[in-house]
Amino acid sequence: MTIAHKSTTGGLSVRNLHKTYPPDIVALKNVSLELEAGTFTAIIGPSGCGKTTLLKIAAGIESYQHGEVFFAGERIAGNTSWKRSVIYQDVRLFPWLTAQANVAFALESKGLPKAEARKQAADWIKRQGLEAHADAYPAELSGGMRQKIGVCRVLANEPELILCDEPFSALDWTARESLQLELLHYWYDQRKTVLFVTHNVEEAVYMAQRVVLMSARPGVIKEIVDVPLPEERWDVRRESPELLEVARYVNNHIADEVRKAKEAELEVGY
Amino acid sequence: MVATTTVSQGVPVTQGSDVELLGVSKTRPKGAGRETGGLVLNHLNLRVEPGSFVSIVGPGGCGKTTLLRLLAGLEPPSAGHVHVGGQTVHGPSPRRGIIFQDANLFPWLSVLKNVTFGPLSVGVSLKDAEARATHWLTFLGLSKFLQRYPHELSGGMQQRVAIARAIVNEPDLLLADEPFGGLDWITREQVCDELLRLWHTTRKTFIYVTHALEEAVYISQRVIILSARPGTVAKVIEVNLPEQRWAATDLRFSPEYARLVEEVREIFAEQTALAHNSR
Repeated sequence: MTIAHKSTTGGLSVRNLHKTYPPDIVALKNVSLELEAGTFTAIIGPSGCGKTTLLKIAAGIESYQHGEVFFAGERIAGNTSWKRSVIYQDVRLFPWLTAQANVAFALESKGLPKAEARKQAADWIKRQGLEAHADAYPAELSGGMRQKIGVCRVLANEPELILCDEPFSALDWTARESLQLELLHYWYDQRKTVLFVTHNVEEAVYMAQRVVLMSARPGVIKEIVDVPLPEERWDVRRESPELLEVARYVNNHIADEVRKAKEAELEVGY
Repeated sequence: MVATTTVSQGVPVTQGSDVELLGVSKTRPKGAGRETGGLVLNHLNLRVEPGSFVSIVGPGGCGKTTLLRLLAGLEPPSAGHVHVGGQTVHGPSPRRGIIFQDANLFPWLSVLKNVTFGPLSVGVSLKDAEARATHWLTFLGLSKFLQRYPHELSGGMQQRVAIARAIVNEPDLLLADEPFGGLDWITREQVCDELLRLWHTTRKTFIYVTHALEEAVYISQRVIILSARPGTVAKVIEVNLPEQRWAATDLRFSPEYARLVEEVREIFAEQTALAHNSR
């Protein structure tokens, strides 16, 4: 295993962030969070706790009322940039472009010459073992293959902040595992800053160096748990006692929040 | 094999049926399905004990959903026999309930009326239908929502209504096709616990198709892993965990559970690799 810490990037700084949706739904309440450059952080919490809102604010596609958000020293307030990219649960490839053209499109829009974009896109697709499908259209690919291409499209652009919104939760096990490892290796080699939203305790603990636990609505940060496992996570067995111990701790602490969220659900219906 | 009647909290329930698949194959004509057609299930043999909870997993396109449709009687096998409760399945029946990924509730009916619809349409009196519906909706934590409409409920709650609607007909066999696939993971774990409690109380036979391997281990007594298409039984894993799993908070993070999940994941990965190599 070669350790090529090619680049470090900026950190994300969230200070006293407050977000209210009309009429008076408090999604985030005085949230402060520091992500150091090159770290991998997961956020977990019950539905409606504001995880996705926080992610959208960091991406610059959501407004907020109070507080400050900075990435690499730049203030984020509704301004988007290729430096901050989101991987969604459904990556939404362009249906009229082939797999390779979808990846090349992202590279070209960043300013790469056409031939170079095509070459780099082909390399990315080959690394996923999908070279036989480079010329296939999204409709001809399985869900797992589409998600792989979507992840390539984001990573090929070399964003400095990778924002993941439950990116693998709709996939079957083999596709999920392979994309988890792909993202882990990419993070390990490139040292980009990753913020990974998930509902899955096991996934959060397996992937991240730190797990942020959020409370039921209004979303506040309840606790930040360090995951004392080696950075080479692919060497960690998923049934290892160390991993299970952290997972159990995280699970017990969000169990209360889940109960609260469920009670709130039973009050209003949704 | 003869269904016996017991009483649970004033509501009569019958015990689950045994299920037997003997040499079942299913062929689809080319161009008819979303895949290429041809053989979907290949000489599949499976026996499910009455009142047990089994889950079915397998690589994409292996015929899990087709298998469930054969059991529900929504389509016939091309070869072989499908027996439920000792009788050949010839078509759909209220004795075999089914839950899909989409709750498919009637949007213009209240929660209560969605659930009484089935019993009323087979001639149960309004009073009995409402008593039964109220019982199961209360069991599933929805007693405050009887008069609400589906759009007023969260996805998890809609799926609970779908479960009540299936169980209110007192089926001997409950079939579930990725019922919680559209829910977030935390909600999903909660609804799984509800379904487990329901199974434990009713002792119906439950057959549960999922692509979430950890969920299959958590929810069932046996995990049936199908081979790549054309599907046949590749491996059966016995899950020797306590029955009342919802009561054990740490079960999902116990070494025994994690080992079983790893075992299922390894076999699943082997089957998926075989599928890719044969393409």
